[in-house]
Amino acid sequence: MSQPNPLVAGISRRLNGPQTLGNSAFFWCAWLLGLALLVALPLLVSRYQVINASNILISCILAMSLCLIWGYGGILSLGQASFYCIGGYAFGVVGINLIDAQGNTDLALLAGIAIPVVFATVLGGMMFYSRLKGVYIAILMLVVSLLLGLFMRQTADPSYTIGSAFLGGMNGLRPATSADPSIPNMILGFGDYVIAFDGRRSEFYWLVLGLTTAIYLGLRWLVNSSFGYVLIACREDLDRTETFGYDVRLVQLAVFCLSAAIAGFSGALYTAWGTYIHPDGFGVAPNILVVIWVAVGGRRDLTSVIVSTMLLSWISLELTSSGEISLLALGVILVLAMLLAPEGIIATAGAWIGRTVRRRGGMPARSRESVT
Amino acid sequence: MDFVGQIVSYFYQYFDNAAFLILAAVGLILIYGMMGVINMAHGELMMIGAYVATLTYNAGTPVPLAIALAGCAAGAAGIIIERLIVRHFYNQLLSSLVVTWGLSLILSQGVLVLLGPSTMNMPTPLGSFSVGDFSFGVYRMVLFGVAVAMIVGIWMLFRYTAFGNRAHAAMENPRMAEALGVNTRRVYTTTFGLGSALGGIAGGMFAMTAAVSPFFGQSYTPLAFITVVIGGGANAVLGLAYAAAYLAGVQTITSNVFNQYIGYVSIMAAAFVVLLAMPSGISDFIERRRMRSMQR
Amino acid sequence: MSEPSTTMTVPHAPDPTAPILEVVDIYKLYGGVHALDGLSMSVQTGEVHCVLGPNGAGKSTFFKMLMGTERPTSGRVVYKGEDVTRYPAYRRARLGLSVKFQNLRVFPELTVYQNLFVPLRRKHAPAQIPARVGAMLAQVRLPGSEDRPVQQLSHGQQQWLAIAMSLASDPELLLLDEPTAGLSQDESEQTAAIINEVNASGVTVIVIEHDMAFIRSLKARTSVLHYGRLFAQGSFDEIAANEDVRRIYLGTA
Repeated sequence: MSQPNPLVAGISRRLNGPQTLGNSAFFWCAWLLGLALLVALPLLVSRYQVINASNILISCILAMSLCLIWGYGGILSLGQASFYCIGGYAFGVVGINLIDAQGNTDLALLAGIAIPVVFATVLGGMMFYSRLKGVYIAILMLVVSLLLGLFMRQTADPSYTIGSAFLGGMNGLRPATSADPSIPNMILGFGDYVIAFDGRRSEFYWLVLGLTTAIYLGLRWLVNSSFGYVLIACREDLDRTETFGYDVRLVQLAVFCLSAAIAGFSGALYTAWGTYIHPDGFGVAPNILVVIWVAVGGRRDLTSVIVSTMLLSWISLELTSSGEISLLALGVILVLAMLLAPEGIIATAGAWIGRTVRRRGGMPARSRESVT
Repeated sequence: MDFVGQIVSYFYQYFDNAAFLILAAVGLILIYGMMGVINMAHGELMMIGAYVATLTYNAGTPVPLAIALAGCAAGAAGIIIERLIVRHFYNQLLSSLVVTWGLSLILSQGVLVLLGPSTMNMPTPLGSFSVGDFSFGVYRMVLFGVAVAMIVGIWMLFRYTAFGNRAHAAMENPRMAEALGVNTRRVYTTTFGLGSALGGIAGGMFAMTAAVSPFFGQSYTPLAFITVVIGGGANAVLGLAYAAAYLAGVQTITSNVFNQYIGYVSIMAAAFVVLLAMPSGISDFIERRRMRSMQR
Repeated sequence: MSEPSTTMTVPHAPDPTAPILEVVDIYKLYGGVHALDGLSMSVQTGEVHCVLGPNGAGKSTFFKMLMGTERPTSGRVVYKGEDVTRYPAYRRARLGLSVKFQNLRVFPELTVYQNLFVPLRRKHAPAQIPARVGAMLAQVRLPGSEDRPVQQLSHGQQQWLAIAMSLASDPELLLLDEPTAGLSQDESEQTAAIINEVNASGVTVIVIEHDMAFIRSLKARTSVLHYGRLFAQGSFDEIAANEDVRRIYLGTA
């Protein structure tokens, strides 16, 4: 730990801090090992499992979006999947309309981020500036999600057509006529220089892995930055933070929109992955799943949330093959975790590992100088 | 003649909508309004009530007894839930929200595993009457009557009984009540159980108008919660009546002018408007107005 | 009774021509209760001003109206000639108002350094903050305690940390609600010294207090609130000698 490499030191200063668990060299070694393993995954497992792994990584991005507003911002949303689905529908609708003309899905991906953000700005603006209580916001978000689902279900009438895309009600988004293209894969690039990422192939998996890693590192930087401090101060005591001169409603709105952007992005990836999006995504089950991933892992730590999302999604997949008990099992896991480890199972275990390693290896606890 | 029938139809819809909101929310009122805990599994307790009522009715039990049994079963489930889980989450609003949501998942998925996804039905009793070309179910009017009776009943319970006094003391100032010899734990458990039992009774009554499935409860919880929230905490029971009267009015108008979906959306919009104008609910607002006019 | 019953000349107001703060006919109703019932008073630039009054006189409500965490039912708050009545708390903070609440409102899960980081960060670059924190902690008698978790501090130390947090935004008008509550005799004297030092550096301070010895040591102009109105105003010695003030404190009024 004595190398004076300024680049490493600079990066380390920005990514580490008291808002995240795992700031030691030991942690980052384990992290790199885990990442290497994930990169090598397509070489180790079957193609079917790679396809599932892509979806799990998309879930990790969604889980991080809830971790950001709930764990760090103190704003619980029971309707986080609504942003995911809005992003998914936006990607699908724009993709169907533009794929033939443009040959890529750049704008569709952008729409998958921008439309949830617009939606979040309107909704969040109303909720935060009217100083709605946290519980009301939580439930209101669920109600909004359920209402959107209800709306999407009754779009089976052919009048619900946007250009070449037909919302399709219970059957999910589809092309308006047989002449129109179906929902495209992720195709990034310009003009002739495009790369297509087929959701059933390893390239898509690597793309999603890269994006998940980038978002993870970006959020680590954010929550350990000055903004992260203000965010946590808002979580701890909103009115007190306002008396320090911070426009706390704006802070809440900003983080809510960022969270919507990340969730929408993951929804767009999901639509591209399965070339499929359906109103059931707005229902109770998808919304509660996100909360379970985050609460069981430890809402106040990004790494814990990713680990728990991976583990729980994998458990869900395994259980689905043996009957309809996966949601039941996840419900039991959630309640037990809330009772036994209110800060989250993974976060509690991680903190314990951290203490043990520090005691054994005599690594110093982080000092405040690196906090900026 | 048709005109009269149309008018009667609007009123009928209005009372039907109000009964729906009141019955769904009346158990939640006790638990949220009095204890400050949000029970996201309330709809699932109603689902349990609906199943118990349907199963016992199909086994030959008369309707009133089947509904009573539904109340008992949901009440018992509520007491178990409070003892095992909810009591660890008093004063942690968001955590109690999440943990009871997990419970609702366990209950609905558990019933799904046990009884399968197929729906069950109970016939709607009491037949119908007609005005002009319109025909109306008598049972729906009974629902409204029961809803009003429940509101009055709870109001009297908290106003005139020893339990009501103990409960008020325990809610207002738990430590003080404890010092005065009130067993606050038991008050909480009883209140939670009572709220759950009311949910079970409501579920049993709705079983006669809707198909019973493991996901029977999902549609009730958010609506019930909205009703309770905009009712406000100053006088939760009266607030429920205000909130149901207001929301049912909005819903009846919008669903007739537009469609049923807009009717649902308008409930949320109407609730939001109320929260903007009166952040702590209708009954708080009215209470404050009254106090102010008394002062001046 | 909206006029103060006792109006006295101000003994040594630094700049009588420029009140930093004026409140005009403030009413605040909670339910049907008048927490403030037509309060009007002003505070001069550069002074230390004590606010006294029996429990329920409206002192803490008065501070909430000044800081903007709650809005008055009617009336105006004027700060440096600007009507700030409709301003949210964060805008008032940016104009130079700062508060320490009665219940300290520190962040118990964070360290001392992190507690000070949040208020300091709005005006200072991250690189300057460690030095600023060090200086502020020395000022409030907590040198070297940067890395201690707030939960480990004594009550008195938490009071001082809360004062430091309210000083961190370099305020021009500092509101301190009961800065000696729960403090020992020695700690109270230290707190009085801190307040005098802060005032000497040019900050106007309004203090809500019950401790008479503490107020005497501040040598401050004093206002007495009673039933949400200004009851008396003057130097501490004048207030201490005022029969009416003694009566309301003894509860015979």
